[in-house]
Amino acid sequence: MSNPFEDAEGTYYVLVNAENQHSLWPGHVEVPAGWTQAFGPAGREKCLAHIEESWTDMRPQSLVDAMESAAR
Amino acid sequence: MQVCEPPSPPLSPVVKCRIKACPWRPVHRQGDKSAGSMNFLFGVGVDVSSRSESQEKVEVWLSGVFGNALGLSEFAPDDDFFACGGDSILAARAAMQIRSKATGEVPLAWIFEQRSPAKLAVLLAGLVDPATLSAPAAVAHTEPAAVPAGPGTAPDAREGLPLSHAQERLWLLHQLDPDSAAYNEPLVHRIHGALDTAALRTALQGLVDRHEVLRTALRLDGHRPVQRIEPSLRAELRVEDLRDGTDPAAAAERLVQADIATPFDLAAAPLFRATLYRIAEDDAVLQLTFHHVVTDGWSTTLILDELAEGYAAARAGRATGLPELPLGYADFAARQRAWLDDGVGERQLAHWESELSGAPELSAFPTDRPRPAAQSYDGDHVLFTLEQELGDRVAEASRRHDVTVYAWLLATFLTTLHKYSGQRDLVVGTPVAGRHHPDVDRLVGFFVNTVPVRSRYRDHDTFEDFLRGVSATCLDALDHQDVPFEQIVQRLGLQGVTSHAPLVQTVFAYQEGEDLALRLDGLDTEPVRATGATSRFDLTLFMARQRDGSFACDLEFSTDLYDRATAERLVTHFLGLLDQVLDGPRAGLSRHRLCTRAELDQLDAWNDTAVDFPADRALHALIEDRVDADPDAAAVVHGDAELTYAELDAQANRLAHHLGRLGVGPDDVVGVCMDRSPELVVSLLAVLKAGGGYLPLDPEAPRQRLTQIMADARAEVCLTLGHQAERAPEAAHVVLVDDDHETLAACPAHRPAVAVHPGNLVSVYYTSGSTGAPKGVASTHEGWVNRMVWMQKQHALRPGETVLHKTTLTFDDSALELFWPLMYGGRIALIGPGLHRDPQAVLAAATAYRTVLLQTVPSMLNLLMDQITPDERLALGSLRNTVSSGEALTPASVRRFRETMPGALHNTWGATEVSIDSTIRTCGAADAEDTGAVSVGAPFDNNTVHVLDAAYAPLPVGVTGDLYIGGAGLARGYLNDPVKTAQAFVASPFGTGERLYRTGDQGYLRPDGSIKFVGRNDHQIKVRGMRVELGEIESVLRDHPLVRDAVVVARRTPSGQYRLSGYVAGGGQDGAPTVESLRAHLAEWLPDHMRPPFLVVMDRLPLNANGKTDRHQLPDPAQDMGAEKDERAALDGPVQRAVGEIWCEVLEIAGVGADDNFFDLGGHSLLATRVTGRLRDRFGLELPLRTVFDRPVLRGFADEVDRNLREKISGMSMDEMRSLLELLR
Repeated sequence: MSNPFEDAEGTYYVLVNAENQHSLWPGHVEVPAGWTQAFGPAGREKCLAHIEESWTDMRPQSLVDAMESAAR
Repeated sequence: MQVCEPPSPPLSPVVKCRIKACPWRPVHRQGDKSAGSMNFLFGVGVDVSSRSESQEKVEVWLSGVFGNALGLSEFAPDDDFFACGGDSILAARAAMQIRSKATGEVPLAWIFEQRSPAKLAVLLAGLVDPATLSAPAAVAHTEPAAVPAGPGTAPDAREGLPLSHAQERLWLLHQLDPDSAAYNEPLVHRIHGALDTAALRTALQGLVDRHEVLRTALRLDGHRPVQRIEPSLRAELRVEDLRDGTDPAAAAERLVQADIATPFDLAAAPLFRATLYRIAEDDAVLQLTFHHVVTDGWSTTLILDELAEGYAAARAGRATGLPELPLGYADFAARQRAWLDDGVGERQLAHWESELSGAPELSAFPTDRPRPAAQSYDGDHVLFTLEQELGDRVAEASRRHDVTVYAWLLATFLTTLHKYSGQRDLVVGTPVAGRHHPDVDRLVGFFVNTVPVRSRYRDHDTFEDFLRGVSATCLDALDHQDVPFEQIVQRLGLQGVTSHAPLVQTVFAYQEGEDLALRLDGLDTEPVRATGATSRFDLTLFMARQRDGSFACDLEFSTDLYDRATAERLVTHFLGLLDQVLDGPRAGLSRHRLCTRAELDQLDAWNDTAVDFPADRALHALIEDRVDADPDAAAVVHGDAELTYAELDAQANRLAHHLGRLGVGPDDVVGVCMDRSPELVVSLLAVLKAGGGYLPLDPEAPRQRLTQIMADARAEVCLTLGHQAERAPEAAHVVLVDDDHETLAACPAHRPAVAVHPGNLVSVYYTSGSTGAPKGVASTHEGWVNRMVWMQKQHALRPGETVLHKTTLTFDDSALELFWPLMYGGRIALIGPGLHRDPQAVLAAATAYRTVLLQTVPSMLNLLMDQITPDERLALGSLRNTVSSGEALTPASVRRFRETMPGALHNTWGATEVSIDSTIRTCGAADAEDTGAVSVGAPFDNNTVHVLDAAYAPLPVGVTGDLYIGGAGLARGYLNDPVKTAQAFVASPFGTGERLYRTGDQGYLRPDGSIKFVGRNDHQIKVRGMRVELGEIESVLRDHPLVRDAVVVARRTPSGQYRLSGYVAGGGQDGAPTVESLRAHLAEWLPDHMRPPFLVVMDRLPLNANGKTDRHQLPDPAQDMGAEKDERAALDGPVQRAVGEIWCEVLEIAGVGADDNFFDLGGHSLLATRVTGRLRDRFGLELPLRTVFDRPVLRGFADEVDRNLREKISGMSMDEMRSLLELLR
C-alpha cells in the first residue's frame, strides 16, 4: 500500500495551523479542522520548497509568545 | 470527444425464449428505454448520415446477423441491439459471426458502442468486403462444423472422446485431491404435498436419457483422460424414510450435508446423486448433488425446468414437450478444441499475456492466519441477501451509468478489495457462461470458464471513473473469454503452486435472473440454500439476482485463512461501500470508507486515553520536588560511588550555572558525549536546569559523525569526560565535567533561575535519515513528562527502589532508566561502560542492585534468557517488570520468558518522535502462542494510534494500514528541518489543529483493540533495536571517491535478524575501491551497527527494466560462503574446525576461512556472547568475552581456544580427555 504523503507525482497542499506548524497535505484528502491551505495545489517538491522557505521558526506560536513574554 | 446520442430505440417484441441464468448480462433488455448511450464509455461516435451503396450492403448483412443472434426474423438497420433483447452473450455471438467475415480486429465493445447495424457498418468499412457477404439464412457457424454422431444415434457406449478444456482442469484438480468434495454442486428443495415418487423417477430418468453428460464418466485412456458415455443408464432416486426418527428435519439436514461432503469417483457414471428424504407425510427434501464437471449455473435452471416438465408429463401420461437437442456435450467439447486449436486460442493467450504482464500473482488481502504450505479446500459460507429495494437501487444506478448490474457490483467489490489489501493493482477471477452458440442453449454440462479481471485503483479517480474502467475491462475480457483459464495460468508460468490458487485467489461470480424454483405440478416447493464446508478459492463472492430484483449472496471463504467473523466483517464493509457508491458515485474513491459508524465509534473509544498529567511542569522540576522531599536519599550508585539527591542537585546546579555562562538558555542544544558515570546523570540534569535540551553522543561513534551532528543541531557546547575528550566532537566549548572541577566548584550550588516552558526542548536524539544525513528529533518536556508519569502509573516505583541504567545513552529508552526513577525517589544503578553488551554482566548487576525494572531490546532479552540459571532467577526476585522495546518481540521469546525469568514481560511500541513509546501490552499466555510478532498492545495515557489507508481514512479491525500516532507525546518535529517535519508530522483529522506522527510502520487492529505490527512501508530497518535507513548508508558509500553508485540490501537471516550487504559500482578512471578502503570509509562516518559486514565491489549495479537498481539480482554474499568457488584459507586442525562450526552457526553463514575476521562477517558483541556461550556448552570452556574482540581473526581466536583447552586438559583424567577429543572429532 502506498502512503498518501509519498506520491512523488501527486498533487499536494501546504497546510498551516494556529501554532504556525506546517504540514504537507495530499490533494485528494479533505482538509482537517484547524488547518488552512497556505500553498498549493502544487507538486510535492514545490510544496516542500515553500515549507523550507516559509517555516523558519519551528517553535509553536504559543511557545514563541510565552518565551517573548518571559524575556520581557 | 463527440458524443452521439442514439435515437430512442424502437421496442421490438422479443420472441426468443431464453434461459436466464448466466453472468455478464447487461441491463439493456426489453423495455429498457433509459439505456441511453454507452458511447461516453469509449469516446467513439459515428456519423451515419450518408450511406454508400456498399455500406448499405454491410448494414443489411449486419441486420441479418443481429436478428439471427436475437432469434428475430426482422431487424432494421437503425434498431438498437440491446433495446431488442440483446445482452453480452448474444453480442458475443454476433461478434463471432462478424469476425468470420472481417479482415481486422472487431472488438466486442464496438457492438456495445454502436448498437445498431447502421452505426456498426461505418466502423466496419474497409474491414469487410461487401462482395463476400450474403444474408445469413440460418445461424452461421463460426465454429467448425459439428462432429457427426449427435446424441442418441449410437447404440453402443461412446468411448475415447476428448474432454472439454474446463472438464480437463477439474479432472486434474480431482487427481491431485480425489477425496475433496470442493467441486460438488448441491441442489436442495423442500417439497410439501403428496409427491408422486414414481413420476419424479420418470422425470429424473428423462433427464438422464436426454443429456449424455449425465451418463458420462471421465476415464484415463493411456495418458489422456477421455469421456465414456453410456448409451443408457438407470437413474437412481434413493429414498431415505426419516419419518419414524426423532426430529426428521434435522436428520435430513445432516444427511444433506453428509452427501455434499461425499466425493465422487470421476471414473464412474453417473456423476450425480439423487436422494429423497421423507420427513413427514406430505413433506420431503429432494437433494441432487452433481459434480461440477457435468453441470454449471446455467445447467441448474435447465435441470429444474426439465424435471418439472418431466414430472408433469409423467403425471399426465404424456411425452415431454422438450425440443430435440442439436448436439451433445462431447460434440461441443470436440468442437471447442478444434476451434481453439485453429488459432483462436493462441490469439487469446497472447492477449492475456500482455493484459496480465506485471500483475501481482498473489492477493495481498489480509489473512487471519499465515498461508499454509498446501492450501486445503476447507471453507465456510456467509449467506446474505440484498433486499429488493437495494437491488432496485443498484439496477437503477447501473442503468443511469450505462453499465451492467454486474459491472456495478464487481466495481464495488473491487473497491472493497483494493481498500482491504492496499493493492493498487490486483486480479480477480470471474466466471463466464461459455455458451457462444444457440445450439448449446439447452444443453446440461460444464461450459463455464473463469476469466481474469485486472483492476487498477487510482486515488484521484471517482467511483464513476473506476466503474467505467471496470466495465471496459470486462468487455475486453469477454472478447477473450474462450481460452481456458488453465492455459492462461500455464502461459504465465504460474502453475504448480500449492499454497494458493494460481493467478486469482479471489472470485466474483454473478448470475442474472437466477431462478431456483422447482415447479412440480400440484406441489408446494422451496429451494433450500445448501453449501458445503469447502472453498475453492480464498474468497468467492456469489451474487445471484432473483426474479424479484433481490440478490441471493454467498461469501465463500477458506477456513485455512479466515475466521468467520472476518468474512462477516467483509460482507458488512462491502454492503457499506455499496451504499456509499450508490449515494455518491461522483465522489472520489478515497472518500468512500470501509468503516461503519459503529466501527468508527469503537476506534474512538480505543483512543479515548485522555487523562490529566502535570503538563505545566518541566521534567527536571519534578526531580527537584524529590530533592526537596528527601534530600539524603540515594539517587545514583556506580560501583563504590554514590550520590544523594541533594548532591546530585547541587552538582547539576553548578554545571547549569556554568552552561548559562557559556550562553546556554531555553531551546539551546548541548552535546553530552560520555560513558555511563555519575557525571553523566549530573550532566543531563544540568543541561535541563540551564533550560537546554541535551544531545546524546556516543563516544564510540566516529568523531566526524559526531561533529556533523553537533553542527546540524547548532550546538556550541559539548560535555564530556577528561579521558574521552579526544573522542568528543569539535565544538565551540568543550566542558570536561570531571576534570574541570575548579571551574565548576566556583559556580553557585543553588538552582539557576531559568524559566523553562513545557514546550521547550528536553532532548534531541538523532536517528538515521533516509536521505543521507541523520536527523534530530526535537522532543519537549511536556511529552516526556507525560511518558514518565504514565510509566509510574504502570510500574509503580516505590521510593528507595532501584532501576538499572544499562541502555546506551543514544538509545532513547535510556531516558526511562534515568529520569523516571529520579522523579519518584528511586535509585539509579549504573552498569559499567561496555558491560551492557554482556548478558552475564547485566544479570549480575540486576541481581546485585536489586533492580525492579529491566528495559531491553528483544535480542538482548534472548541472550539473558539463554544465560540465566534457575538459581539466578531466584536471586533476581526484585525484578517485577521487564520491558521489551525497539523491535518485534516473538511469541517464542514470550514462552521462554515465562519459563526462565521472574516478573512480568511487557511489549511496547512507539518512536522517539512521540516520546519514546506510545503503546503497551503485558504479555500473557495467548501471546506465547501467537503467530508473527507479539502484539504491541494499545495506546496508553494521552496517546492515540490510528490505522489509516492510502486515502488517510481509518481502517477497520483486521485490515493492514499505515500506523500513525497522535497525542501529548508528539515531538516538536525534526530540529532545524521544516521539510522533513512537515512530511512526518502531518495534520490530523481527529482533533482540531492537531498533528499525527507518520511512523512508517504498518499494522492492523485486532478485535480487542490491540495492534499488530506487520512491517515497514519503506527501507527503514532495525538492527539490534536501532533504526537504520538504508539510504543513509548508501549515501555514505557514494561519498567514497572511487564509488560511482551504491546500494545496500538488508536480508533476513534464518533466525530473522537483518544482515546488511553493501554493493558498490566502482571502476571509474581511478580504479575500483578495495573492500578495506570501503570499510575504513564507513568507519569514519557510521556507527558500528550501520556498517554492512558484507561489501561487494561490482563493475556496475544490475538494473531492471525501469532502469532502477534491481535488488533481486544482487547476489547474497552470505549464501556464497563455503561454496566450491570459495577461495578462502581452509580450516586447519580440529580446533579451527570446531571454532569454524560455531562461527557458522552463530553468524548464520555457510562457511568460514581461517583468515576471516569475526566482525567482518557480521559479528557483533551480542553474537560474540553466543560464541563464548557455545564454547562453554561444548567444551566447558570459560573464555572471556574480550577474547573475541582481542582475537577477531579465526586463526588467532582458535589458537586462543587451543591454549585454553590445553590448560584445561593438563588437569584432566584420561576419561575426561577422551570425551573432549570426541567433541573435537
